Amino acid sequence: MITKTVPVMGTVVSILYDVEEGQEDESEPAIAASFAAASQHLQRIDERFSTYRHDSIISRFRVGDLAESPQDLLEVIELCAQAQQLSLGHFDPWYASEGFDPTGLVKGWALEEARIQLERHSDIPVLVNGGGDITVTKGSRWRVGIQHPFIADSIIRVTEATAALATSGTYQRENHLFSPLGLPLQTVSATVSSNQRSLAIVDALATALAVGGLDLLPHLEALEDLEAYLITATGEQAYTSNFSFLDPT
Amino acid sequence: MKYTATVAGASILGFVGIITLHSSPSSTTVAATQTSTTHSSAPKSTNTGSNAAPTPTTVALTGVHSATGALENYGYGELGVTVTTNGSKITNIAVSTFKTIDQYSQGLEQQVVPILKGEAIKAQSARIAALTGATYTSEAYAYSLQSALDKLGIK
Repeated sequence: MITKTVPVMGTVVSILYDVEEGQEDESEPAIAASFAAASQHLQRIDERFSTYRHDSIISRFRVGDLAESPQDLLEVIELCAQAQQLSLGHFDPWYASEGFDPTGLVKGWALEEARIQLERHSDIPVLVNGGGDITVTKGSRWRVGIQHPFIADSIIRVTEATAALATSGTYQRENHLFSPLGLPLQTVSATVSSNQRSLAIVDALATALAVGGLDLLPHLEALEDLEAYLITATGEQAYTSNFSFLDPT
Repeated sequence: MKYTATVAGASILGFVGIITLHSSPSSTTVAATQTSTTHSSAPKSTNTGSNAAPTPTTVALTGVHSATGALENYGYGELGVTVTTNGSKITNIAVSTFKTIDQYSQGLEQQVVPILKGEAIKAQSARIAALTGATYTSEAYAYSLQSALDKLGIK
């Protein structure tokens, strides 16, 4: 296993290359090329979609300063509409009074785009992890720990990533994470997994589940190709029937 | 001027990961340098006479000062940042308070932690490739740092 990291989007993105032992030297040129491409891509998306930067396309779009919406922005808007629909409105980037805010989806989308770049430059299976949001080469399987919500350096369950996996948690600071539907926050940690869908959607749905909690879980159970696991504020654990646990239950 | 402060905050945010992963003095210097660069390239608040638009009062900065930012709840506990400046340059940023919920004994956590404690697996023993979890720390860090900078009058 070879790991490379890039600081971007307010976090550190780790890229794991599943290289067999003894193949490290041989893989080095492909890894270097793919890592450079993926890093550049992440930096570029951060520059274009950060709501912290006044000159980003997203900030300009928010103040009505864009004559024409570029292709990547249209793609993000389309993904946001999908995520809003799939989450029954628990994820709503159009809710905030400051204007359209796709932040809850853009990180996942950026990581997904980075993984596509990596696969363009090398055949080595990869895992891309940006602050706990994970996308992996389809067909590869990776053991992933779900962080314990209360105990540092511990995990609560072990699951596997086969395409996209993301966790979101409630933050006790008002206006950071809130329910667009006005529900009280009762979920401590929400993990969503899929073996087909883009991390953009999975990331947004993890945010939706963190605010929608047990109310949203039955809906995710009914959706194809989406599994979810959550921990409530009272310590209850709930999950969809096909959520993959690798530790003994 | 609020806007300028926000840009500096975003820049700091981008380097939090480095500090978290490698808390060596040199990494802290990288973050501090980056912040200063952003700060100096940002529009300055200057009083250019009575016709100028009103600008927020800023404390004149000379010598070494330090301030501790507000404690921010990052979801699993509290985090506070102390920033030291020399003139208008940030010379050091240190995490001065870092409490996890383990150290809490009041309220809801008291009931919930024991329930979930039985479920804890040491990450080292689980042979995992990666960790998925909610990440609050970098934002709590940025907010606390911003409030420390506000106390020092650095915009």
